[in-house]
Amino acid sequence: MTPPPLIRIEALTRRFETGGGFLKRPRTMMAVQDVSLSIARGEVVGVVGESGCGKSTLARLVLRLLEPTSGRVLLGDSELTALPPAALRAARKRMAMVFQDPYSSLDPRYSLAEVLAEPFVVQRRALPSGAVAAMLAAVGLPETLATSHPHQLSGGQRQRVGIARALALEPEFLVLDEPTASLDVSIQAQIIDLLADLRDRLGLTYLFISHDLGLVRYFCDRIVVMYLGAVVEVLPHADAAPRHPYTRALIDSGFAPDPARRRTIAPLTGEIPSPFALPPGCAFAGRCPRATDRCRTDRPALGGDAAHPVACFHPH
Amino acid sequence: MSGRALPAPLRAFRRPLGAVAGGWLAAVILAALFAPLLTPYDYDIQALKEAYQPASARHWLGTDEFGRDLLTRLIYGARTSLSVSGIAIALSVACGMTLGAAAAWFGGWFDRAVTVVVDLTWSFPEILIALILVAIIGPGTTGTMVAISVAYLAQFTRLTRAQILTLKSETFIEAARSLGAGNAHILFRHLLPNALAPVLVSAMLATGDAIILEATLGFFGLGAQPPVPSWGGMMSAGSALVFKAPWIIIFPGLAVAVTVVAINLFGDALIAELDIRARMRRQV
Repeated sequence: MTPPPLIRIEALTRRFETGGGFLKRPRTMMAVQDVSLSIARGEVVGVVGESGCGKSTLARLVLRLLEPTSGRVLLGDSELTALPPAALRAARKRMAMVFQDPYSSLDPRYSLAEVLAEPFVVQRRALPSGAVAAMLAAVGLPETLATSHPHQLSGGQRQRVGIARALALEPEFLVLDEPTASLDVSIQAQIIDLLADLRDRLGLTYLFISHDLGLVRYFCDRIVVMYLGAVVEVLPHADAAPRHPYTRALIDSGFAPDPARRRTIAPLTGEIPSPFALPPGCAFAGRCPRATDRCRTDRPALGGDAAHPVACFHPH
Repeated sequence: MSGRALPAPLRAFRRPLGAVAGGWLAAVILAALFAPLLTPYDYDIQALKEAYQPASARHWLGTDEFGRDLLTRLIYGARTSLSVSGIAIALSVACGMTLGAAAAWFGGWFDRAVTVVVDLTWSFPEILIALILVAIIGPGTTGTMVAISVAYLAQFTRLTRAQILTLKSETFIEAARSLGAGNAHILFRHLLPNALAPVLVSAMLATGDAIILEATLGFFGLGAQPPVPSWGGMMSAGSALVFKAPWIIIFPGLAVAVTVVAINLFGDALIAELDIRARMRRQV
């Protein structure tokens, strides 16, 4: 018997309405469409997709920083999407987020000690003595930085502070929203190593959002591929052969470090459909080399092999 | 690193212009505070035999048409001018920040209502608003104070609203929310402290304008009523005597001009020290 998952996401959907005004009908944008996903304790699940595919919206829905249009999110036994404000605040101790931009995710007026004390202030808990130094040490920063302000730090150092803040209340579950996207490549590796190390030491569960499939394949146990708000494929492990034409195109577009393994890249042609006006059939049909008439009229559901589901009529 | 330890107003003194301007302002404020200790004469006792005296060892800046010592009246005038404009701006900042922050925070119809009213008053020159209000309230220090504070309300409301709107979308606000922060924590621990510096500097610069406005109202006879001296009122009395006793109008005029220039120079030094020049312009 497998243990129950830590996170259950059920048919999560979020629509945004924009541009409504006097005598003007608002336009509806489908940001996240019917996403279901379970994450086991200790698992690292990656979410990849192009910018604008709804990855970040999904991250915010899972932590209920945004309200879903429909669907549920469960953390253990508690249904996050149904919690009243006070209970939600208490539940926030169990989950945290690391943000993409380490330059705007720290209040410029706060010293690092204040940044790291804020989770305790907000949760009305006493800050244990020596906690700030311990938190800094846990992410590889010297204690002497406690009195510095964010503008005195490098991007990598700031991101370490962001991680330390996320871990302050000893959460079980972390959402990492492109935590390395705005860092230099050499720093990226350090941050990924730190995150992997922290997971091993603290038994954390990650939802790792990224547009970098190579990074996700290196770091994650399972990989969710999103296209225009919907999940098109879930790879059961990093080396699983992609079955969806979009996943294949994503993998092919990555550069192989070994020149002998480089092959000609067949770039995707065609435009991404507007999320304001999704086509009736498969959202990828317009760019897909395998598309048939059926793809343009019917939408394929995520199905097939339960361990490796794919939303495609003509998978590889 | 050591530079961060000092508060910005003190760091502004390290700039040459900031030091000169700040020194003048400190001197004027101290003189206004301790006026009774500094002045050997009374500001309101007339000595007609001594009238129209030019500067001398007895009267450093001469005497006015009633024989009152001009320096004494100038120092007491600083009291009136600084306190009226200072209190008026403080009132205006308090109301403007509350209104602007509330508009940015709540949005919706409240924001639209505040924006419309504020833009309406913004389109009139401050002097016009102040004159209309003094006409309604009646002349005197209280009337002038209220009039000036209303005249500058739009400026602080707009500035605060714009600051809060930009800050609201910063990631550190979302980060605080993800930790479980409530509205009060976000408003009072993140948004307002970050909006404060530009608003306070703009308040300081506005105090310079308010001194001119107060002097203008005083010149029209709408400010502090005689015999209480104000710089504007003294200039008004001296304007009839420009050729007979030019010092009566020149010294209060100089006091207004030098003080306002000093406020602006010190404000510039503060902006440079706080590094908020770009944010000061954001007043949409």
